[in-house]
Amino acid sequence: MNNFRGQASLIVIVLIIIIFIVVGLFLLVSSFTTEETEYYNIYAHDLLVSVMRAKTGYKDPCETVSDTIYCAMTGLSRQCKYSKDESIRKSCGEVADEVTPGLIRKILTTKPSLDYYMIIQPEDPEHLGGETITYGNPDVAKRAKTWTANERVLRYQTNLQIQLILATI
Amino acid sequence: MLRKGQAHIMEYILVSFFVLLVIFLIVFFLMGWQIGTTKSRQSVLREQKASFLLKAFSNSPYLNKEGFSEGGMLEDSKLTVLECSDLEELLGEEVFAEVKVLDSIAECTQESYPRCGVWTFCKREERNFIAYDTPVNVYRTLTRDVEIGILTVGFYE
Repeated sequence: MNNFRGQASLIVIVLIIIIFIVVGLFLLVSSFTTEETEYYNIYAHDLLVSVMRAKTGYKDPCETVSDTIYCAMTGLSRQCKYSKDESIRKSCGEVADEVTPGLIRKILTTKPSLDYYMIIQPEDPEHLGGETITYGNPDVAKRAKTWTANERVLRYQTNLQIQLILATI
Repeated sequence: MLRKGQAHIMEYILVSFFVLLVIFLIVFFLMGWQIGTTKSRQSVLREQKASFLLKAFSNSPYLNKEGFSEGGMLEDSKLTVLECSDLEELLGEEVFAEVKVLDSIAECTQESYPRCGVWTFCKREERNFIAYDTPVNVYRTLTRDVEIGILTVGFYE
């Protein structure tokens, strides 16, 4: 009987030790979690806004990236003249495909660990036949840890919803 | 009988040893956890400060083009006249900032403006610092062009 009591107290003590170790490890790991999420959310938003506002080097209707994307979604036949050489003309879609991913990639050279995926669609899915333009790596959207920025391009008749997703490679 | 008594004493010694071990473990664990959380809190506060400085610079109405209340549209002429003392007045002491237009290497001074694309404020060599960077737009006042730059803002430890 006494032997059994001794063994029982030993088991209880060992269990207490194990519980303390597990709780301790959990608390330590949780206390080391950093607040970098806020920074990457700011980064994603600033990246999206700065790309949308940037000039493309082409004339109206492709003056800024957001103008060009809007034109690519709504006026497929419209042509944009290159500012430095007006004999060069490209459609809005061509300019958008050339400038948008190029600018994002250029900015992300300062953050080589990040990859991106951009989705552009009309705010009202019934407009423009639900057409969607995407740039970047679609696998980014499936990653467990992502940072997303959303912006609206406000225009007469059709607003565009632009989503930029960032994730580590 | 004697053996049974000895066994009891041994059992009590063993149990006491384990109880002491548990107490020591608890003490060490609490100390370690306290140190860990303090360090982690310190690191979080540093990151929050760096993040705050970044937002304060990029949203500052003194540096942004008029009409861009949400910030991120820094005007090159305003950056060119900004000095380290102005930055310290704006964000506090022991801070630094750099705005670099993509692909640009020419440092901006009142002499080199507007053919330049790098502005640095309060940068000191060989000092530990914490900094964050983010993309911003740089508005070229003379050409009305909008370029993309990288804004880095941080503070010295």
